[in-house]
Amino acid sequence: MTNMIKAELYRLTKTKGFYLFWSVALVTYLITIVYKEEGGLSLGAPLISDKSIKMDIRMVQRNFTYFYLFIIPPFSLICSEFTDKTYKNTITSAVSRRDYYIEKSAFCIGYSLVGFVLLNLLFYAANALINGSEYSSSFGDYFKAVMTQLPLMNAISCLFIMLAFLLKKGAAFNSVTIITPILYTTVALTMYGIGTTKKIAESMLKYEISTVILNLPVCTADHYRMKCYIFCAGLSAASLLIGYLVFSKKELD
Amino acid sequence: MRETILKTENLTKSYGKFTALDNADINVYRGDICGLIGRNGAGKTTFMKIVTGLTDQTSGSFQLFGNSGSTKFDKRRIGCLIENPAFFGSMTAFQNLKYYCLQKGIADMSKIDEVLALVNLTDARNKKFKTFSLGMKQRLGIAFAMLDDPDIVILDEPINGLDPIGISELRDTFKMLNRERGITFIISSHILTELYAVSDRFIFIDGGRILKDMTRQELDVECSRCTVVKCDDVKHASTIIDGMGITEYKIIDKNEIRIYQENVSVKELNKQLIKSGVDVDGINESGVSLEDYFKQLVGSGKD
Amino acid sequence: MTALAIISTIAAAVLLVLCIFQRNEMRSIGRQLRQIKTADTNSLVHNENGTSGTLVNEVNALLTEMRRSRAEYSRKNHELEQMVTNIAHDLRTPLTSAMGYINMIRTSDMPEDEKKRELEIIEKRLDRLESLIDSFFEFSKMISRGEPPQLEDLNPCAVLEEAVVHYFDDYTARGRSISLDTPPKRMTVSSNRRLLLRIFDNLIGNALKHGCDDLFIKLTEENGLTITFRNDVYEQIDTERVFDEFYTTDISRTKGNSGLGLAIAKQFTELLGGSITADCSDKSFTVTIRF
Repeated sequence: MTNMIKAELYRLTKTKGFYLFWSVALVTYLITIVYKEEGGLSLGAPLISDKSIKMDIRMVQRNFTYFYLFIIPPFSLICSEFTDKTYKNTITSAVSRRDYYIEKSAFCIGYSLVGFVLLNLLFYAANALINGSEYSSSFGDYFKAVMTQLPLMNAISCLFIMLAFLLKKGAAFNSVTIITPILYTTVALTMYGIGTTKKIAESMLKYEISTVILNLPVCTADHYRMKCYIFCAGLSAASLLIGYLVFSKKELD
Repeated sequence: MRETILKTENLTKSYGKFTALDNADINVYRGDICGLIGRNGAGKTTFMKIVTGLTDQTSGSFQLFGNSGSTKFDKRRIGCLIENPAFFGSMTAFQNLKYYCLQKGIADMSKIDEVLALVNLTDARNKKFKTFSLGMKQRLGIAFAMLDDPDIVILDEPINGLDPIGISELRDTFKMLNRERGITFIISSHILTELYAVSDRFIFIDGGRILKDMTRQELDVECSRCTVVKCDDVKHASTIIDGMGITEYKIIDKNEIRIYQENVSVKELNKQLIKSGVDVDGINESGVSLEDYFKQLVGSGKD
Repeated sequence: MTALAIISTIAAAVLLVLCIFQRNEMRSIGRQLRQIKTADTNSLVHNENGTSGTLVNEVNALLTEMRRSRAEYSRKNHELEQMVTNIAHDLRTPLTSAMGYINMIRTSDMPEDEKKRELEIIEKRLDRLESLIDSFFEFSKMISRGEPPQLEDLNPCAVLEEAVVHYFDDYTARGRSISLDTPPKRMTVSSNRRLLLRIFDNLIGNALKHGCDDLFIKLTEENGLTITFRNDVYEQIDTERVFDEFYTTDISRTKGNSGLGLAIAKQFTELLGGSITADCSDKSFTVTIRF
């Protein structure tokens, strides 16, 4: 496992995705710190935010950006192996198919989540130093806020891994991952507009990803969180399992 | 060379209704250079994929190194190049190999240069893989197969895309590695003459079935140059031939004798036979080329 | 306070992880060595997580050395077997021939002078046999005891001339010649006459059997004694292995030598404190001795 990690880290620094991942996040943070207004991607979630919350936690609420950033590790680590067919080299002479799946997935998830936490903490430190306590909360609060989003981030990561192993080719993977949430939101909004399906649409929107990301750090309703977490756990487990089954049983070409 | 390094029993692989490999029974001995000969789509690649773990067989079994060959230790003992060589385009040859060294836990990075030198890719060490020609890609694939000090190297059409000098150099490299490090090779190709020059054993495969499995000496006998004597009285003729001191000959049927010995003088043979009263219909030199032999084999396999 | 607690917990965790890694690495190395021992393999030890890279490298160096020795041993063994077969053949040939002649003399009725001739031939054969056996004895004596040779003052040119005389008839019979180029002034060196004669004998005899055309010998004295033997050869010679005890390019070995000639020359030269090298370019083979 450690060997795999070392090898992947070595390789990552030579991919474009690696630099994209870190630079997009850092640039977004930089802009936020400079303009003292939170920025980031959001889909169904409302843009106007509650000014009573300190800016850094509002920034955490905007972590939907990571949804798109999380596309990059599976793309660089998994899809490229299928595109270039380099998985052949590893499977024939280093590890079995099962271990390959486990190690790849583990590294992908680990890398994504570590990146997520690190970047968030980095932002905290920079923001606190530069903008002072007017714009930043206590470390404990901030840390807790970030942690509340972790299960969801994990689920997203697992989901992407499954899609990567399922779809194999980079183009297909990219399209599905980028378009799906947009599709979801569009459908939900349309249903909302239609009127008869308003109720369904409402709950769809309540659980839309960027909205969830927005709400998790700040909501006080326990069952909202609980529901989300249970769903995340289920999604993570299911994704990893399905990915494993597809990868180990189907023919690889 | 008596120890079996790879043994398959009734190895079968079907993709739906199409049988790619049909009850293959193969024995590869340690220290051999084994040539797997067959046309495109005969099942060579399928065989190699199963044995290296890229795909699972539908039925049958195989044993590599005496066990099913899938422990980590056993996996490292295999080096292979199957189908097209696959590497990361944006990384250089060195970086690609280093990636795999890290992955496998190979402690000594100087192995990379060693293995690049083996295939004459030292100049391309710092060139990106996507700029490589077909021959260079092929050679990097072979270098990768050699990276981890394997005991068995399985190569799927390794000479594709190489120029004649490259082929000859590679041939010498294989022979050297086989001799000095005792590495067993399984090389597939559809170019018989090349395989003939390098292999000790030949396995003919067609339509997923193993047609024949023979040593080089046996193949030589089947294809070798011989002197064909056509006459009416083969018994009498054979005693004359014996008297001439020729030992390597075979009575094919009641009209034909084939002499496999070299340097048999046709003039002398003719003189002796006529002198003893044998009616000679004809004496000529004959030999089956490897291609013809293979065609024959494939043809008869179809019947 | 809490910051300190957090930092120390993290430090402790990191240390724990490192310990576990180290332990796993050691176990892995042990396991791999066991596997390598039982399987006849080329595999080397791999890193489990890289925490003992130096150890792994050293172990692998040892393994490689061990395998190299084994391969070398097996090669030498094979060559020794080959040599034993060759020796048996070598010894048998003149013997059989002599026996044939003896038989002929005994059974057939031949005049006295013809008998004399046959007996001479027999003697020659047995001489050859004796000299072969001498070679083997000499060689084995040398490699087993290794006592230093006794030195005396002698003229190397005279010894060289003596060796040339030994083979003069053999060369002339084949239409070949030996050309000897020595400095005009008389010189004296401290060496062992018998050994030196043997060296020169072997080199000239070797050139006779394996070379073609004329042999050119040159002795010069500048920065010590240098003697070169140059002749043409039929095929390229592997100069690295030409002094190997069992090396011979002519596989069919119809020329009846045991391959020891040059090996003995080398051993003797080195015994006398000199050096011997071979060079082969463009089918021209040169042996250079330096004292």
